[in-house]
Amino acid sequence: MFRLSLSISKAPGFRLFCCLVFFCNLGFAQQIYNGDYEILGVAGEATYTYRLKEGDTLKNGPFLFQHSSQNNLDPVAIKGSFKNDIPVGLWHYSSGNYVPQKEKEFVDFSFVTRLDGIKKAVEGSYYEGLPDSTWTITRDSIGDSKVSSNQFKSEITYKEGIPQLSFTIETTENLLIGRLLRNASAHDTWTLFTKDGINEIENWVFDNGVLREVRIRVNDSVEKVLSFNQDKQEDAELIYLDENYLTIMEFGLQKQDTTHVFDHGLSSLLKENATYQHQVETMMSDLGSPVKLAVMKVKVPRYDLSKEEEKNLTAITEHYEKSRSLAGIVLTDTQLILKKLTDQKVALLYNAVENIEQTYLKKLEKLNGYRKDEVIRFIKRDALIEGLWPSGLPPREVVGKDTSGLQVAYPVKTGLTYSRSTNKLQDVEDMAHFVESVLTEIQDDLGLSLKNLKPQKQVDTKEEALVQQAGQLKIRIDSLAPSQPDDLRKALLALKGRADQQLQQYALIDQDSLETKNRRAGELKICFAEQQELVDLLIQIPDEQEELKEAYTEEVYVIFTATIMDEQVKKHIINAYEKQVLPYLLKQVQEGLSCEEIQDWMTTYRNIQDRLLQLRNEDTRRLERKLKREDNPQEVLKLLGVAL
Amino acid sequence: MPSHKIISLFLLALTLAFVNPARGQDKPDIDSETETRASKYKDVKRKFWFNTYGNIRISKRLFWIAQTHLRFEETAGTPYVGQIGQIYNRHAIGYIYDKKTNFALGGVLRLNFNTDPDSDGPDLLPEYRIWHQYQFAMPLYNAMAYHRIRIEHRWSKSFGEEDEYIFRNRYRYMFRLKVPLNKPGLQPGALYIAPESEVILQSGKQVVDSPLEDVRLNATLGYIINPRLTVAGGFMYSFGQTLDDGSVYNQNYTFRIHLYFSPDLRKVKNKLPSVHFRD
Repeated sequence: MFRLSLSISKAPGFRLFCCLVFFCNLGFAQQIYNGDYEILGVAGEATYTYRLKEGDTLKNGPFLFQHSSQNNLDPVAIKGSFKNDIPVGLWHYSSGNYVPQKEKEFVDFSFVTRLDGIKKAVEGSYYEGLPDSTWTITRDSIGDSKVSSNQFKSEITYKEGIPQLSFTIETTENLLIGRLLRNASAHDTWTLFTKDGINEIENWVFDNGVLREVRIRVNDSVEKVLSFNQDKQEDAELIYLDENYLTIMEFGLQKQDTTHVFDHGLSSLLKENATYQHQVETMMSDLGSPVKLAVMKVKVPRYDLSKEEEKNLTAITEHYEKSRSLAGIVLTDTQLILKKLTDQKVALLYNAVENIEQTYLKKLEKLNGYRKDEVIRFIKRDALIEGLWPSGLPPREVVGKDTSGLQVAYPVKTGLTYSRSTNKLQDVEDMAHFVESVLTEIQDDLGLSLKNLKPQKQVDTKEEALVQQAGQLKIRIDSLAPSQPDDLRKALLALKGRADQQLQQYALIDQDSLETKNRRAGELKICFAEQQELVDLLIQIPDEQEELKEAYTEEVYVIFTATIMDEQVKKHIINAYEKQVLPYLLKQVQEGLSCEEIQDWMTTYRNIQDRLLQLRNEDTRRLERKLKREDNPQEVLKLLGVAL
Repeated sequence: MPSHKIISLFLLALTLAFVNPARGQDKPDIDSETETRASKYKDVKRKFWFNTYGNIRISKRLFWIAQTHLRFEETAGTPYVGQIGQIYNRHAIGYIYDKKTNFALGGVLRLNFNTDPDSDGPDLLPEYRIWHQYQFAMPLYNAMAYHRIRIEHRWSKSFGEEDEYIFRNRYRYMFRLKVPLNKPGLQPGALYIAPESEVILQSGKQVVDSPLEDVRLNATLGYIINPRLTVAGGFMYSFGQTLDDGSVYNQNYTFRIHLYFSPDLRKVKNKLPSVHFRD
């Protein structure tokens, strides 16, 4: 047998056949890829079949991408099919954000962690790369690892890429029904109902793609009607109904719209729907097979940009981008961040840049975004400028702060000026130019200061991490503190002040004593991490206090009233905790804990919590009598059996 | 709802009680009587009551009702609190049928003091009662409404030298509201207002033309200190037919102070020996 096959293989005809098979395989045979894959920066694993054609990989057949693992709480999954790189058949896109529950459940001899969170899914079919049949988008709320409620659901029917007839979008409260013409243009009245379908909250009246009127129900008897200027329809252009369209309408309507119709209601449903559609579009584009889902169309008047205006916009973008990069260089420089804590000049300049970012750059960034999205030609220029700067362009002055946080005017050197009350892009360009000049000045000034700072390569990275860490700590405290009760807020702000103080002291360490600086940087790193942990613990206190109170509360049936009332039991224990122990502990934080004391403090706090929960089920009559008489928090702690 | 049925039956009985078939037959006599007889109201008597009410929980469904009332009344020189009128001891065992319904059965020992300065009779006479009560609560928005039906079998004696103990039955219906003023419900810290009205009917061999013993109209303001303790105070206007002559009506103004307490004797938890704690 072996001899026979060997003799056949030597025949010249067979060799030719093998060569043919080999080349055919090389050109057309399906191959399977199974391995790492990345879509829009999300790393995962993909499985798909493909074939090579003229050096190109053509996906052909089923496709599966998954970004999920045991510990991954943000899974992404994409499933569908390709035919020569064109999506066909049913596709399913899903993503989620989950938070594991604290407690594990014992199910079938294993511990199961249940999840809460949000699941988003988009499902629909493609016909030769065009969306076809019904596409459904859903956002579900997940509780206990089950779908607890549907938060958002849209259903749009496509035929060969064009959305047809009517579509619906529903949330927990509202239902939107809209109608489209065969060319995908918005038509007729789009209505937002309450979920029961009885009350109409908003009506948008379209006529062949043109939005004529928006009617909003303010209350049972009042309806606000916003009419749109219908002139210039000859210059109208059909565009996609997406966030950009809503931006355009918002600018057109800003004077009439005191209810901010584009911030909520029907508009927000359309925005959310368009966002999900765009996500699918960008994912498919990243897969090399672009599709278009957000294709409902609307007609808007066009206000072409003059050559002058085009030039203005180009210049504004250039000035903005330069300014943004200059500001970025200053604001992220670790050494400057440290130096500004002790050096008045650096403080003034650094804070001036922060001021410029807030006052000028944010709005310029928006304008630049509109330019990129190509929406400016659909917005009247005066409406655009008024929308961005309702009270005129910001005054030509820059304010900085000194090391103690007091405001100081930055002495502007440049002679560039601009007119504040304007409806011309030329003045915006002048302002952008002014901003760039001031930032250049500041950078030059800081350049001089920077020369005074001896570069310390070894500590640079540590310093950078340190500044970042302290920054995060302070941001977290700033966002949390305002909503906390008085005592806790003071404790949190004290921690923030302490972090500033520690950085300041660090900045004052002589540049020459590298070793000291290095060591201190290391210590502070640990200290900031512990402070972060302490912040996390502090903000749990109100909830834990509530839990304790609940544990010490009993339901009592009162015969006199025939009702159930809550009764606090062992009041002296809870009183001693709330009136003495907790204020005493928080006072310690307010007065400033050293780095070494933080861990001990946290341990004491946790021990107290545990002890109090234990005491709930013990006979505490004697203890309560003693607590009633005691007004020294340290003695109270001793009585509770918690070591300080 | 069984409670509704019972209430309806009682209200029907109450209506029938006012219809006197005997009178219907003697119509001409009534006409002639009304010409000569007219109802008369006695002067208002002013009183002050200090009442304690205890509901002492003894088991899951049973509770002990222990009430002591000190009732004062005016003398010629002192309004409201001039002298002690009655000391009232009311006890019973109550049964909690459900959260909204309870029943009770027990006895009363009332000590009646002779408050008539002109009387030659004894200073003190005891009065005995057996009583049973049916109470139904109904939530009404954030308030509670209560229907209380109380039936008493009463042996009492007047202070006249010739008087003997007589037996009467009393039928009492009270409607009461408790409306919280400063809290979402009746809960610790709640101040509540309680309008109450009660009709007391009586029957017995000696009850000839005075079935309406008392009508009581109250307004009370209460404060729930905690689930175990409530205080309240209020004012009551009451009137009713005298036993001797149905055309003569008593009238009273009464200030009342109430103390409600409800200890729980069941509790065994919190009495467990301490394991970890040695103080």
